[in-house]
Amino acid sequence: MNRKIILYSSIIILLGFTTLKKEGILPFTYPDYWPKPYYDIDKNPVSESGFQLGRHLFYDPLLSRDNTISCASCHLQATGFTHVDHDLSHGIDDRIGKRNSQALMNLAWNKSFMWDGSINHIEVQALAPIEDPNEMDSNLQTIVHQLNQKKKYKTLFHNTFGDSIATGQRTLLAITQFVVMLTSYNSKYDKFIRKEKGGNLNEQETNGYALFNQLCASCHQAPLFTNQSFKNNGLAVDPTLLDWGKYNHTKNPADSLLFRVPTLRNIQFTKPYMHDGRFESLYEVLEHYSEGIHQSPTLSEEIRIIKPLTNKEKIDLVAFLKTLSDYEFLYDERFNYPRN
Amino acid sequence: MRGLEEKQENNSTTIRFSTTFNGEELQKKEWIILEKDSLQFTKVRYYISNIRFINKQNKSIPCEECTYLIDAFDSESQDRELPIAISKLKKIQFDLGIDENTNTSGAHGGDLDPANGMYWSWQSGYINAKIEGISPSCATRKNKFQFHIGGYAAPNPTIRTVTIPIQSSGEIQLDLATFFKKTAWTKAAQLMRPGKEASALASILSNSFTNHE
Repeated sequence: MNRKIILYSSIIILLGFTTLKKEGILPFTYPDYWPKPYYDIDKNPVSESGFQLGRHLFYDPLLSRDNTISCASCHLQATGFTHVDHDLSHGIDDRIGKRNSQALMNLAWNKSFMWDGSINHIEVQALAPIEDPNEMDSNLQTIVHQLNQKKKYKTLFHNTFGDSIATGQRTLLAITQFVVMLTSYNSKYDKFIRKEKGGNLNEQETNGYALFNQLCASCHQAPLFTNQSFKNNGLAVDPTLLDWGKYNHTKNPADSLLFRVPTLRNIQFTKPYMHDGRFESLYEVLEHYSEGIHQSPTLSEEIRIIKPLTNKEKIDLVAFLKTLSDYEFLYDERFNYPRN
Repeated sequence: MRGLEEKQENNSTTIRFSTTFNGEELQKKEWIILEKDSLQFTKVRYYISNIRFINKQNKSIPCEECTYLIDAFDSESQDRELPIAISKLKKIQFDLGIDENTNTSGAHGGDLDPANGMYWSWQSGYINAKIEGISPSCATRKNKFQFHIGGYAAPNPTIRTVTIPIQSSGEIQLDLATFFKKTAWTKAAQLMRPGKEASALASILSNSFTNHE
């Protein structure tokens, strides 16, 4: 058994991947040139049953007050686990919230969550949509009570935690075990970086890549395509929303209009863009950076250096951004609706 | 007058975390008549954590994993068995609230389970104390007063350390009359977020423990 583990691990390491593997635990794999995840996965190791429990919870509208809204309602796998084509998400009773749904991927590297950073840990993030009156309008206590009534969940909890009792903590840990596994690192760009088959960038993509490194990479830093910081990227406040971003919870004026730098992975499919979904297409985004920056006292340093772009430059940049699409991730059957 | 309850083995003590108003044990939804106001309580819950025992030699001994959610209307939550003999105890020191480390390390269980309703969903962090009730003096919807005291981050953390010399009654008493005397609760009857106001209330509440140092 030991020889098999050494041989298996050697092969994995030779292929250039880091795999955290323990007996009975699902491997959490990522390229060895990536930074280490921020989340300590050993504190809540992912088991096959924990992953399936989390997956069932993710797709179950039981988490909403009237059994109509699940996590997947606003986080659809095929479009990068976001609410495609909705500037602001709608939840229960067709209520409309104040923010655009974020794409879910590579969450183990996040230091905080939500557009304004108000959630400080992956394990408690699910509480925010669950209890938001515009989203699922429920509460953890009610959900736990319902889970304890259902045979399917009694079995899943028993397989994961050793007994069939659902608690708030266990429910949150199980959801975490699912979402933490949503990793994306096999796009055309990644294959290009690793010099693998399918990683040849054409002329437009190559030009776009050079422009990207010059103009965008300071905030949208590879390999995660975010540096996890909060920036004011020149969006004027929407007077119908009056969303001041990070300031909303820190009350620090220096945080006014600062929003999280989102990942650009799979960006081709996660429209519309920005915290309030105000831009329908990537071209509109580039137009904003090129000509539409709104001046304000907290405008970030990095934005001030962006120059007007020519049409050709915009086309090349969009071509490059499309190389960040990871079809293996978007269509990975492990993450789709559980059918058992 | 409650007596001490010492186990046969002499190495544990049951301490009662009681909540009173002017010395009278709090009863849910029972009217309390003051000089110019009347009020009743519908919910009073608070966290006690990081208990340290100060023995007769003034040495501080930590109580492992001693974090309790006290509910003034649930006597089971109020009586806690502590792993030390009363004869060895001089003082008890504890935090009113939950520390920053616990606030930033994800989903916890037991008394710390977010399903207990003492955790903010919209902004990560524990509610250190919830005090809710009704008074005709409050010009709010349904005359409700609601104090949710929480927040762990600078510049307004709301955790407070309290030290109490051991009483012969084995009781740690939080007297809300002290709290209500010192806040303008009829004017500012609702507080549900971290900040300066929460920090001020946290200090008043921690000073409302009877016989605190």
